[in-house]
Amino acid sequence: MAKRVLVGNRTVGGYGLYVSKSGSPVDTCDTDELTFWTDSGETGSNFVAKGVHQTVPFTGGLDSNGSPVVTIDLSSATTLTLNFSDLGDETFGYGGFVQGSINPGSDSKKGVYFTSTDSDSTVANRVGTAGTFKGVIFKSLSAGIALY
Amino acid sequence: MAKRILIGNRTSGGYGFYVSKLGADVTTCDKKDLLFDSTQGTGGTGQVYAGGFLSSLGNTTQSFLTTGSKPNLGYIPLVITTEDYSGEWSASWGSGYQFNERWQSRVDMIETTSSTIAPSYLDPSINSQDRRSSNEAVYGGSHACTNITFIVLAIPCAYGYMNSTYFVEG
Repeated sequence: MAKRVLVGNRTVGGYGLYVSKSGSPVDTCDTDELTFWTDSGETGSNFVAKGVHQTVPFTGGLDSNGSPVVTIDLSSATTLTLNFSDLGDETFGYGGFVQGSINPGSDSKKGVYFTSTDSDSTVANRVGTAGTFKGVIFKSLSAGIALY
Repeated sequence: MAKRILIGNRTSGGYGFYVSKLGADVTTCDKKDLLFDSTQGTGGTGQVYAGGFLSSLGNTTQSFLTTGSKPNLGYIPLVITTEDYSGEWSASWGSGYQFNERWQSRVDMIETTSSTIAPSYLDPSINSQDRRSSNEAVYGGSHACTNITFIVLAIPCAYGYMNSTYFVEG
């Protein structure tokens, strides 16, 4: 049986936590055969990820369904400030809404986007038609660079 | 307090690395209560492979492999994006038998390949132009791609790649 989990010093990657997929020895396999590893600034010939995709809880914690999703009421105001836990800079706001089963009306738009996003807040803006939206914040893991 | 981390042999799943949600016993909880489960294939764990922010992305492509000289994943990955003009859009013009009406469920369409993203839009009347630009979006205003943020996940998201090669458990 192949070794699947390594906590320690790996020849490629250095000190960290590594988990490999079934059948691949965690200490020697190619990086694209790892299901999890801590980023060590690697570059080169194998797949190098930045970490696990994660959401950031809004202030007040999770909703009644245990979900880190917030309701954004833009039925009257055109903007709404949202506050969330400070888990680092370069956060990523993502929003959407349930579309109706009928034409929303001629010459109309409906959508939400985010501005002034920092480590613990963002401003939700509506595009066109008023409505209620859902939003979630992701950690981008960009370490402050534009393209990563 | 519930056990939250297991490195070893789990009754359901076998040897691996497991992390459970708050209040869920990692040794016995359902898989839906696991934050991390190493039995998922390499395509099922949601690793952030690349990402970025661009104040504007015109009629061109943006490589997400540029920084750090990342190699191609070998499949088209799942890319999550957000930009200024998100959401739906509708427009109508003309009258009588020449009445036209369009509705697009999502204006912030992004075309992805295994190495690039590019803005795209729906225009059935102009076959030679398939990207968004302010001078083409004559019905409803500009849909140019501005202030786009994107995250590339190492999860296959294209026909031919969403299979056991990438997602099999074991």
